[in-house]
Amino acid sequence: MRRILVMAWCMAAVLLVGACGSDEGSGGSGSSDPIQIGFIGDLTGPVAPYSKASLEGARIAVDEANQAGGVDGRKLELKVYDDKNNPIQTVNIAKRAAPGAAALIVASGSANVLAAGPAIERAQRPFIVTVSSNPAVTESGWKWVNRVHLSDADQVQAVLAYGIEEKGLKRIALIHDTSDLGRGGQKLILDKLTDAGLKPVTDQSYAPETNDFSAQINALRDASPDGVAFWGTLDAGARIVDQMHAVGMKNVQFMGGGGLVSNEFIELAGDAAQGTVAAWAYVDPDNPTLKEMSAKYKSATQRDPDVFAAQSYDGARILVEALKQAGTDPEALQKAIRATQYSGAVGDITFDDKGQNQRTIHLGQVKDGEWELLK
Amino acid sequence: MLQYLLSGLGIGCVYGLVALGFALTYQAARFFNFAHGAFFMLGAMGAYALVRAGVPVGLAVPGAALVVGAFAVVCERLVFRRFVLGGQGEINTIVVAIGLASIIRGVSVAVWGPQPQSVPSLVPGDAISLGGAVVRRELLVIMVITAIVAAALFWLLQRTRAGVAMRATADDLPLVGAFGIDVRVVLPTVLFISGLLAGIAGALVAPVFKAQPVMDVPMLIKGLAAAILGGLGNPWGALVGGLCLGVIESFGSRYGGSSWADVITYAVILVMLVMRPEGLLGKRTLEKA
Repeated sequence: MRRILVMAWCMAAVLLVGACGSDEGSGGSGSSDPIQIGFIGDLTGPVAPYSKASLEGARIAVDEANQAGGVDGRKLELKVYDDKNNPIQTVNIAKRAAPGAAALIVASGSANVLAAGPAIERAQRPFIVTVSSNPAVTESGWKWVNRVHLSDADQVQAVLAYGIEEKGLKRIALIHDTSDLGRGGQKLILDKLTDAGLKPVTDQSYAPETNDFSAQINALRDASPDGVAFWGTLDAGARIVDQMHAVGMKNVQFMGGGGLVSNEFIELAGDAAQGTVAAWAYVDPDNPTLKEMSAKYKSATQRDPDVFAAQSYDGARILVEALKQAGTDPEALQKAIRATQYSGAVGDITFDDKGQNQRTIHLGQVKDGEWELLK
Repeated sequence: MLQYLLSGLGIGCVYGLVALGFALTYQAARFFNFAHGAFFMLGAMGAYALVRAGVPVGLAVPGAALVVGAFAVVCERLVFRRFVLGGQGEINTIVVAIGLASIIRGVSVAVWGPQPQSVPSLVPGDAISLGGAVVRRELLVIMVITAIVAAALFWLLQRTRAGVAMRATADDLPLVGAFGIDVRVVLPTVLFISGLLAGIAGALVAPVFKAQPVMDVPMLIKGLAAAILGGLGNPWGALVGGLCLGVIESFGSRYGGSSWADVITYAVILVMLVMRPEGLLGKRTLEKA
């Protein structure tokens, strides 16, 4: 009898923990009918630096809106979901979260967004993409997507143009992860190299969450490149450039996408980060909106906001404005979002007819332990 | 060619140290310690935490190893003992160990966050060039330490009474008590050594791989593969198995492409279990059901 009781308690505990496990309700919810905004991101895996920055940016925007009275007297509630970088999870969460939410903010990686996109399209909810850069997100004919981040198509172009035309690199090695982020980047990089009449001296790949890159580094070394084009998340990028330096590949130009431009990359890679060039959806430090948001961000996280935090903040503010204009009817809301003419922390934002926002892409370079604007 | 051999041996020593600890607990008590990967991870995180608290790297590395060893003893006392000695069955013991590993990982994420952390190196400086091949200093240190550990363990197991006791418990746990060996002392000792090995492997490798709470499961699987390759029940087999695994992975990725490293690990486990379950250095045993 005692055994049965113990088992029953255990089951109850497990069910209870499981039910509260993966979601976290947060944000202000004062009056009876809060407007729900679902936030999906990777809060624990390789994409976490970007998702968490996005979350904090979005939170600040939502709190500001609530303090100013909300939307038509209704408070906004941010419901946060962790997909742990698992695309299957993202799809499940999207299916669960979409019906009850007015809109979704998706800060997950590319593989996850590409997996969950169709589900959100079927649920007919506007969604704002703040982190994923794979071109297919805005090239798949989706009606409900609004991406405030840059597309890799533009990022690769900018980075490789610098490497090939300005630095005159001829022996470029390619290393990328096997997720949609890396594979998308690989295709774009290969296309760009072909356009320039070049071939990569080697094409290496790694599974996301790999720690030990000795196989790839050995292959890179054997190929004697003068430049390495990297497309993946910053934890891998930092390890790779660190391990490259450790085996003596110090004068090789390391190049990558927007995900590298973050202080975490420099912290993790140490001295090896010096000289790295990456595409940068640059945020102008003199931008007044950014300054205000920066103060709040810093007091919450002890860090300066990066571009992901800033664009997520802007994305959330765009959503709030659209809600005020159009209410929660999905079609009207999406129309309002797409028609937005907004000026915020990352500058001017408008969306083209595919939902992609266009901004100037700058390049950053690590100099003396800091990311500095290159051009 | 030499490059691949050396980097394979380097990583192989890490696998070997981890597998050695794993095989020791199996040998001493028929106990598959599936929390062993968590001990490895704690070695790395411990080194990070100690350095962050201001401890110089030279002390942080052995310090982290000792802490993990002590923690392993605590685990034994609180969790493993009643499963291993209480005759609860091997499956239950494995499940408990897996559960413990999850808890350890969850707490680590809560304390340190899920992201990788930098750990300064014990031996900063450029990689060493050896005949055209380049080896990281940290890996050389690991190889030296592995050799020292192997020698020390050999002496312990073969030449001391405590060591004999540990080897005896493997053969027949209940009977050992009749010979005046206190089994309740053997198990914590074995776990201490096992934790120490995993911890030092983690602490030494942290500067290369970065310390991160999710390191535990991948390393556990490599350790398991190495132990199976070398022959469960024979700690030296585990060490040799680790070295072989490292070298096979290194050459395999050279010829097959870099994504093949993990595939090779699993393939090795599969092939060994099918063709030669006793491993490279094990002895064929027949067990009565």
